[in-house]
Amino acid sequence: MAESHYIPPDRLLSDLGISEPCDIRIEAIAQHCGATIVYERLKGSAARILGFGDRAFITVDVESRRERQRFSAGHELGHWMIDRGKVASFACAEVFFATEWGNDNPEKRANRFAANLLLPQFMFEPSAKNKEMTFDTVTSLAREFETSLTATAIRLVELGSYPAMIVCNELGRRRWFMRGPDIPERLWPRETPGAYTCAYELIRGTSRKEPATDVQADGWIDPPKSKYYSLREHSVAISTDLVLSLLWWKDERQLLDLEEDEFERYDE
Amino acid sequence: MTDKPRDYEQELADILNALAESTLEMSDEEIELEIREEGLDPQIVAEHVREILKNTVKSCQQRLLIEAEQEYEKRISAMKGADYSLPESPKAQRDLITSILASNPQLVRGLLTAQSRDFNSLPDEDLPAFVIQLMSLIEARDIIEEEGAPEE
Repeated sequence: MAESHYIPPDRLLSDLGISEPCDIRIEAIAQHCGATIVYERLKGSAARILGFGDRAFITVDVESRRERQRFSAGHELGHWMIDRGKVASFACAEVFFATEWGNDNPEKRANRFAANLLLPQFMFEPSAKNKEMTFDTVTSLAREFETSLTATAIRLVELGSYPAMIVCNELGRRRWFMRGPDIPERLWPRETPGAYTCAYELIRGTSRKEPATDVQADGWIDPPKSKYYSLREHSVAISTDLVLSLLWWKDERQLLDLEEDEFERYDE
Repeated sequence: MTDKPRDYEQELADILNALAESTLEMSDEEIELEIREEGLDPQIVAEHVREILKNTVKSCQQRLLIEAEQEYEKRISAMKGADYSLPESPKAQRDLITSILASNPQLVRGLLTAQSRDFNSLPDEDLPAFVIQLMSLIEARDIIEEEGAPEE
């Protein structure tokens, strides 16, 4: 039976005595796990890992931004911890870090590892407490934790104080989405955002930046009754093809009505 | 009389222990008075001591992190100082990778994936660092095989 090398990110942090964001020093953490991070100019990928036995090199593109480098390194470390023995080399394109959050696959698992390591729940929750579910909050948290917008936005949806969803559209179509814990599974984002959403403007290229705006919920959400509700949308273009949208049910009536419907159905 | 040399370190440790003991035996008022007599503010001194204690606890908890950091610095310096003579042309570098793998079949067997064996997909610019890393992984393996794995 293959020896398991996997150590969950929370345990790694605890073993290393890390309790503050400024102490999450990815180079030292990776070295503790047998992987040396080196910074080089990379042409074919944003990062790659080459490992053999108990040692590995994680190469990260020296020209990437620091938060991107940290996430890339965390992602490759995820491969090292999860996929060691199965494969020895991964070369990961930058786009994986933004797009591979949907279906379960090695890239998603590596992204998840990096998010849990660089944005650990026990540090992130207190920092995100009672903060608005917008990219302004995401930007400030990303600065505190030195992480990418995508990973930080996902963590805010998962661990923030208010009900929200994050949707990633690629070339105008939904690539992946994630619900916060208070969003019922009946709520599905539309395949393409409606014409009156901010994301629509970003996707069409008629705007480059949109402020957080209250929009009619049916621009985003499928159920027919959505047109009677509103939600706060904050969308940003993270590349020429990708638009990330945070949907915040600041007015929670839609969620409360859905809950009530569920109760009534249950009573019947 | 013996000619035993004086153990200055032990003597210093004894003095410090005695000082610590006497401080422990003092009342809060006596300590406060002594600090004021030195012309210092007890609040500021207390904050300073708290900070020292906090940092000491933190360094102790982060012992493994600090060790890993030192190890990382050591490896990076070693890599910078290492002299790997690489062939200049990308084709020769690819040939070198093929030959390294051919002479280390255990690398290929079950470890390197088709993805990574497809070195043609590696851009020329990414080859030198890849070759160096491959060589140093093999070197590390050879050292372990020769000397035996370090004890945990």
